[in-house]
Amino acid sequence: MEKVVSEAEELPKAIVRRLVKDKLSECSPDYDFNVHKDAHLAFAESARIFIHYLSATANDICKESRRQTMNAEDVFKALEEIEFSEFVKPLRASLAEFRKKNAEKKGGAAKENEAKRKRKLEDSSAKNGSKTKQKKLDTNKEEEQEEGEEEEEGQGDGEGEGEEDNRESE
Amino acid sequence: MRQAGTYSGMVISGKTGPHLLPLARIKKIMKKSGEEVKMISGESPIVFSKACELFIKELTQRSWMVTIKGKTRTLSKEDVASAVLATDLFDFLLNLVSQSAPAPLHPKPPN
Repeated sequence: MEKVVSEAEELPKAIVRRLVKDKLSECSPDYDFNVHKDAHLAFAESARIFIHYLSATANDICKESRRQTMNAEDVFKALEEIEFSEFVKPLRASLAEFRKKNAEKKGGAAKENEAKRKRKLEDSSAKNGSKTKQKKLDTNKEEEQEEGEEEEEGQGDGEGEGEEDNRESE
Repeated sequence: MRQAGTYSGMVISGKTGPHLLPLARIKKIMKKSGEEVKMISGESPIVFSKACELFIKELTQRSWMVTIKGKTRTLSKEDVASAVLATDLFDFLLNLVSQSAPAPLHPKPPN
């Protein structure tokens, strides 16, 4: 086999191996079959050539439709053309499932992001308010309350105000 | 690799689960198939990934059918080559196997 292909352009061997093993255990649940190392290479190389072949065909179909970007439909048509039409149905199902999951993720993520943004806005507006008050305090009482300043900065919203009141009274 | 570990359960159960093969790698291979393949939609590699899985499984099964005829339990590359030669569907692989098989039965398809 001619191999002028770098690893980056090959399919991961472990995954190909796993696919082959899974299929073999399906074909022969009672007996274990071994796979020679050369056979694994043959499977990986065959799959790579399959991708090339399917890509080139799908690309031709895409060009015929005068589009720049190859899409899933081009790939389905290509599969029919290279006589792998039996793949089309399970692939459509797989794609539909992926689209569904993606839509759910996006929906969920969008809601989460909105909630996060709201929280951030609330937090930052509250902090801004308390920060400006704390800064004034710090500039007035630098010498006396160095430790106190640190504590103030570490604290949250309402407590700063409470302490200010205490100090003023003192 | 981790993906395979995570999803192998789904593959064995036969569900059409998430893709196993890395999409970035598939995209690279697709782009290498010709200078003209430039723009690929986001979904295409996913279809390719799954198609590749199905292809590997098909080739595995046909190779296994050759192996059991030989009454051995080791699937060799010669079995893969024989499966390719015996299946019209795999004619595009003839170039690949003609180097490993002793004598091709079919002539090479014209490009």
